Amino acid sequence: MSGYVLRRLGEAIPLLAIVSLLVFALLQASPGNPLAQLERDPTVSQDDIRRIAEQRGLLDPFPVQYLRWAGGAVRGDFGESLQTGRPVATEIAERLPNTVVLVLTAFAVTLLIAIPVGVASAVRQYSVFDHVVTALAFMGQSIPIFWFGLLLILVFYVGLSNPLTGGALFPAGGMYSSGLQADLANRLWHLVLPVAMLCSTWVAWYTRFLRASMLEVLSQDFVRTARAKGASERVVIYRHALKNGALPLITLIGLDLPMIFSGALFTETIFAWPGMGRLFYQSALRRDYPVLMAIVMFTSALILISNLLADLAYAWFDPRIKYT
Amino acid sequence: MARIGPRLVLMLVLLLGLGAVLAQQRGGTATILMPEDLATMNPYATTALITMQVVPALLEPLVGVDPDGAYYPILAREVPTPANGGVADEGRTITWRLKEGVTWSDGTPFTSDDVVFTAEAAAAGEGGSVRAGAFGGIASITALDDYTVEVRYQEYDASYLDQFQWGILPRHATGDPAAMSSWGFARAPVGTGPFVLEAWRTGDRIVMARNEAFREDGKPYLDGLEFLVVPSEETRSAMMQRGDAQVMLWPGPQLRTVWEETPGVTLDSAPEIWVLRMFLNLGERGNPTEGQAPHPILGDVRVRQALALGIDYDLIIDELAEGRVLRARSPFELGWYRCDVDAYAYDPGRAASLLDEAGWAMGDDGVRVAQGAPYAADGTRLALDMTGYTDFRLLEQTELVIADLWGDLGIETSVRNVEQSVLFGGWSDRAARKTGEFDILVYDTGAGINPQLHVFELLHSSRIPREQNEGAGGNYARWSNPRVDDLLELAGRTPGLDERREAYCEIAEIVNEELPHLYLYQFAGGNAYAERLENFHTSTWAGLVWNVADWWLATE
Repeated sequence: MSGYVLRRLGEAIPLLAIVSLLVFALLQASPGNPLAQLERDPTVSQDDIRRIAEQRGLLDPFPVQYLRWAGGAVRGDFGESLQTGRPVATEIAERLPNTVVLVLTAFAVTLLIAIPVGVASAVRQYSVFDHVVTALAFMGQSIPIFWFGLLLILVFYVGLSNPLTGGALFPAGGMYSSGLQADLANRLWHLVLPVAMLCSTWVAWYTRFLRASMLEVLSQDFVRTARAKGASERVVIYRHALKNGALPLITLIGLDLPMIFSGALFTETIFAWPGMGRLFYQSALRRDYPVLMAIVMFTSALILISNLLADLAYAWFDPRIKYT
Repeated sequence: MARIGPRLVLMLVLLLGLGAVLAQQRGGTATILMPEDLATMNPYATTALITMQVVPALLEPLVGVDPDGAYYPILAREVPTPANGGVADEGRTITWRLKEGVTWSDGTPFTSDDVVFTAEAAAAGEGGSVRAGAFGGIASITALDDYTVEVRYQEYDASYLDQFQWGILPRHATGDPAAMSSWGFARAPVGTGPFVLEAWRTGDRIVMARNEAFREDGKPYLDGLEFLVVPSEETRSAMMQRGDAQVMLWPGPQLRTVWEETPGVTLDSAPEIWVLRMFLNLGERGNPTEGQAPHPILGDVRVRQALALGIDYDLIIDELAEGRVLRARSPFELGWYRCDVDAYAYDPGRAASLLDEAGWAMGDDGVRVAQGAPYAADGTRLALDMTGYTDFRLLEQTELVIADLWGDLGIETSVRNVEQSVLFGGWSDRAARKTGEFDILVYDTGAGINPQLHVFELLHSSRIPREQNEGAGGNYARWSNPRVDDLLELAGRTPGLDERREAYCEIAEIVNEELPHLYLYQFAGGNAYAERLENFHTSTWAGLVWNVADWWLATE
């Protein structure tokens, strides 16, 4: 098993190198200029702009720029942001914890809701409960997420008030109220709406996947055998059926896990959450290549790692799968 | 008895004065919503507009410009003029006399050495300053004593009063000018302004507290400021409606009805310096060389005039923009340099006859073709492309309306907008604006209180971006007029404002006649604010916090 993991990790290295070269080339080839803001200001002289472009290495030929970047990256130095002048690592270190909190909370809430609901929906196929869940799941899949976020603000921030304080029921933006950054309750209160927005789609997808997979598993022989042996319904469903039915869910989690690094742009934008999604988007708009490259590379690495984790989880859930 | 009268009057006056002071309540924090975060707090390391909405609460210039366009002293004791001896040697020597007793927020005295340092740091391009060009004309800068600075210019510089507009830097709290880009000051500035930085959480908020060392007794009235970064306009407006914030920076024009329906919130508008205009490419497309041929269509002034006459300005301003913008006619729309020129009015009949006259005959498919046009081969279609930038709804709608109106005249217009980072690209990435690979550019730009540099860049023939000057300059219309060159140079070396205005107005007339640019409208944006935030005023000439020391919060 450990040999397999090492081999997979070893294979990832040349893959990441190819990804870095391709992405760097694409960024260079796409139109746009990180110094556009200076170009727009008529009080900045062309000499100043050229000097700054030279200082930031933007006028160097492509191979020089790429090798300089790659040389730094292998040593863990991703350079400095072209916009702020600060190390890229600092920019990311400031944003990453915010995104981790948001995305992991949303993941946890999603699983807490989707697993029991998906299972119950499959067990009681075509019941009223199943129909309601199915209808809600289709809604969750089809409602544009940004629209749902705005709706949440309209209802829970603008519309409804907290009867005790008279203020909004839930805040519309930010991670905490003024001066309360160390207050856990205040932070949780600020998490409610953004997490609800993220979960609206995730719960819908996860529930549908789990329902479909459970339906398939529940009709299989080993489930009937378990029942025939007199196992309780609870044991049959959660120990025997769910363990097999959850396999597609692992694939989904494996695919969604890199969001912990890449962030959730719409949610972060609507709820003023200073996370990785917004950092990436702003960097793309402003052609901040060093920040873009770092985020793309970390996200790529995370995709490879989470795929590996998903594969390992398959083996754990299904003993028939063996890696050598 | 006779002496009691004056005493009584004096007491009354004192009581009234006290009342006026008491009327301004102290305390409270004003929350300001802004769409994006700052990249740096060093105004010499960025040109981002957002920076100058926030940083002037911390860093101050020597003089400021009030909403009426008049200069007033801030860190200077007086505005230098020939009368007070501040301007000598035909405007080439400026003497700044500074206020005494001013301290930096860390208690260090502010002296003329800080002003000298600011000029040195700004001019040190190797350190990463983006303002080196603006300080390049200074021959010498000397601290004559602790509170007097003498600036000598190589030649008269019309923008001498704006020289330190980005704020004065403290020598003791910054670093080596040659290493400006690595100064800790960019994240933790020390200033003389009414507030001090307490915390800056990237992408989230900037928190400021009252500067207890501020020189004006009793000011600022507020305890603090909190700038929240809220990217979604919908969320920002909801927070204003809920009363969770007192100011919303730059609300979009579509929110006007929201403010009308929200009690206690007002939109404070002021004309903006930004004028939406079209840059017509007078030169051959994509051939940025000396002596390039004229543009086959736009090279003919009659076609340009037809384009101007083919725009229904009233439709755009009153219907499309719902009166939220003001008609613009020239590069000189505001302040002391405002010029009145005869504006073009929508006249499709005259536009059509001008096109006929210019050798563009209506084709079978409704698009005109060249038949004896001076610069286009017969049979060339009258087709133009129009390039603006994306994510700006009103600009896009304006382009589409104009394209439609021109279509009625037999002009085929295609709108191709690009991202800002593409439109405002540089020579090194062969941006279309620089190489002339376009027919018409549409975007907003504008001059501040001192328009000289701006109009010189846009209109002087030496500022046409070409291979020979490696794309330097902003004369994207590639227009050359010797009389305008002379007038721009004259205005640049003339200290008298009346004489300068006269030169500018003659330029405005020539531009209006020859039309290298078509002026569409000037924005009348502003900021939404809670009415209980007293003394809040949007200024055409300065950023959001220009008078933040005077803001105070009335009790709800």
